[in-house]
Amino acid sequence: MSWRDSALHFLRVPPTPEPPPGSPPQVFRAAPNFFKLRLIRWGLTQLLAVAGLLWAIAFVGWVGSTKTPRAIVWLLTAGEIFAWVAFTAEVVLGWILVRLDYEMRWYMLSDRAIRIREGIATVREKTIALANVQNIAIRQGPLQRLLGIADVEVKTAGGGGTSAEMNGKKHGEPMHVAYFRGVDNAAEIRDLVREGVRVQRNAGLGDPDEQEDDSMVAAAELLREARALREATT
Amino acid sequence: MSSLDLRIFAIHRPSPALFRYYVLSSFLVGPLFFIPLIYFYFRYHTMRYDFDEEGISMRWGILFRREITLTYARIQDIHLTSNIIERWLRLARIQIQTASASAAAEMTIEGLHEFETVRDFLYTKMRGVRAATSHQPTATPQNDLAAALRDVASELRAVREALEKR
Repeated sequence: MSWRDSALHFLRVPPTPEPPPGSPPQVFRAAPNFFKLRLIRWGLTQLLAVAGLLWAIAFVGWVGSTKTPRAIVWLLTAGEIFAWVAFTAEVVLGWILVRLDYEMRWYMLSDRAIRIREGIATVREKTIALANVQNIAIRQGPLQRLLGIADVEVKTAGGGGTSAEMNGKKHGEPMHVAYFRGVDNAAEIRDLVREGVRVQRNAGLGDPDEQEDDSMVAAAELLREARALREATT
Repeated sequence: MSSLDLRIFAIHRPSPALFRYYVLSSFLVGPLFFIPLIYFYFRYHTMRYDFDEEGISMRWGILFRREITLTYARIQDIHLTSNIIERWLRLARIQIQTASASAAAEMTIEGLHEFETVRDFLYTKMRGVRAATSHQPTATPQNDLAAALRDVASELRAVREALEKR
């Protein structure tokens, strides 16, 4: 069993998600550069940690040169060694999580719905009916532009999480937004989603059934009226 | 009513695994674990779900009672979320959104092993989807409307002819 299989088994990450309702979906995945970007960010934080640990070594050395009791110096050295061991374990685990987070991502688009699966520690599966989509946006930061990737943002009606509201929440993700993160064909996805939204008969808010019934009722009433008129004149 | 409907309507209580999850997550708080544990104990033991033709209602609480009722037709998004402990216990949370202005989920269905079935069931009932499927033969209402309007036209023609004869 490879490290990947055992990690996925231990974390009980479910395999490929079920396709959303509607036609067989088009499946999009995060671009390889998305992994690169995540790796760069993660690497920078690791560098900061290394800098802190090196500073701690220098500090322990300086304490050893002063007239501090031997016991305290030993204690500090033991803490230092423990910190290095923990750091090594964290580097390995962190890399595995970054890698799996990149691999375990699915963005599915059928003719009726969008389904987005992401996350390792917390697995999230969002399903949004295209009929409920309100707007679509593409976001791209400077680093993302360099790497040729972007995030497609699909919003439904309701709750714009204000920052205060967001802080109170357990998982820092707005509920009415779905992201296609780190895709290299953002414009294509946007066009496909727009097309999918356009062909929905009842898009946006409002009761979808009302209009149809109304026109039928109106037509029937008109018919009744016209019949009455004929009967009155003959 | 399909057998799926009947199976979903039969759900009233969360699985005992939910209580195990509550106990585990209370212990994560540390020495003050008994405070969330008391709350979770009563939450688990008073939690009731009711699925019916029109919507779901969920209630819990002993001192402060809460009851949430949602209509299927108003559901917008359905999210499935699970952390690692929940996955070890084969659980997941179904977070249901309507178009209201709150950032958090309107209703979180917890403690069901058959979360995927429930999610798919809700999905077939929610707004946008239900409307699309019930009007699948889109030609029928259009034809009805056209036929009615044609009837109106012929009636009016008859009126005109009747008036012309006078």
